[in-house]
Amino acid sequence: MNSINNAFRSSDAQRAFDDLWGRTLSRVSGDLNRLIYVASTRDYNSGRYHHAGLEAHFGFEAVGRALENAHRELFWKLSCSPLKELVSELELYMLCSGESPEELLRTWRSLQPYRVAVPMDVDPLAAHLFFSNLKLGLEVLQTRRSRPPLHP
Amino acid sequence: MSALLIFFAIALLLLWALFAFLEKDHSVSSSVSDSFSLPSGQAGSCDSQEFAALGHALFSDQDWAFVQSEQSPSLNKLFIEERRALIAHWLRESSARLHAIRMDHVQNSRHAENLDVVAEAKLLLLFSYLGLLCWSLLLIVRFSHPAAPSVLATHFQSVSSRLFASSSRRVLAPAASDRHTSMT
Repeated sequence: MNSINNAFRSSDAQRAFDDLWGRTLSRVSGDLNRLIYVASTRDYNSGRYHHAGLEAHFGFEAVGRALENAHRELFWKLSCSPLKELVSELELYMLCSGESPEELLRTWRSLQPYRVAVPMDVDPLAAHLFFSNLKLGLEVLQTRRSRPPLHP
Repeated sequence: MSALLIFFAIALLLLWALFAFLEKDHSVSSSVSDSFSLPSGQAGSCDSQEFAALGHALFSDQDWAFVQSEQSPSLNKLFIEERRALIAHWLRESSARLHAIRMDHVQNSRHAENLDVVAEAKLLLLFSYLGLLCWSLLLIVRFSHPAAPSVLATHFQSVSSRLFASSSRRVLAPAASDRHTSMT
């Protein structure tokens, strides 16, 4: 991965990556929101990343590599982050989604849409840690919601 | 003499019972963790730093304290089951990586003309020690909570990471065929 990173940093993809962070990702709240956003730029059939605005400036290949790298960085950061932080990320995601928390929790717990947010060729153990932590995080939020409110 | 034989028989019986229990417990953990299976030939694609980061996350004291603070027995149970399954795979992968390094070293040593016997013996001891640590971590996690051996896990990582780092140039990832020999 280090050799890939070195090649990446010395190329146009680095400028596309900086632009992506500077203009887009820095305006998205929370790493989970960022991960879902970047994952959504990937074509489900080809696995290639697309971003029309960036491609106009940096070209198809450089943008693809920039998005792929951003995806990997965000994924690793979230996979290895403490469970407490992941729960906060989930709360922030729920807040930004505009959906009712009950509805979102029910959908995420049953459909597990986060499974498609994993980069390609990632280490399977890392992917399972990510799934497991999200599953636990959702259970934490569900447990908190089902608990009767404390009265003074 | 007969007392000694009885003692060995009992020790063997206990060992067999322990292995049977571990196997059973592992199969339960795997079934609980939804379709948790690592495709052969894909595991271990991360580098040694990323692999170490995974280890730190798996044995995290902080996560255990957080789950405890939620005061939910079902959440507690789920956390233990999920982490046990993941830690078992992480340890198996660690063991496979160590095995690959050892095999690589043995292969290189065959062609060496001036073998340092003392250095080779030290290395053999180190591999045995790491193997023992692997088993100890697995046992502690099975009989206690996932963060219980966090100090031992950190020690295991610091010792094994030096081996992983020194051999990373020669051994990128263990072959899938190496995995069946580990932890079995």
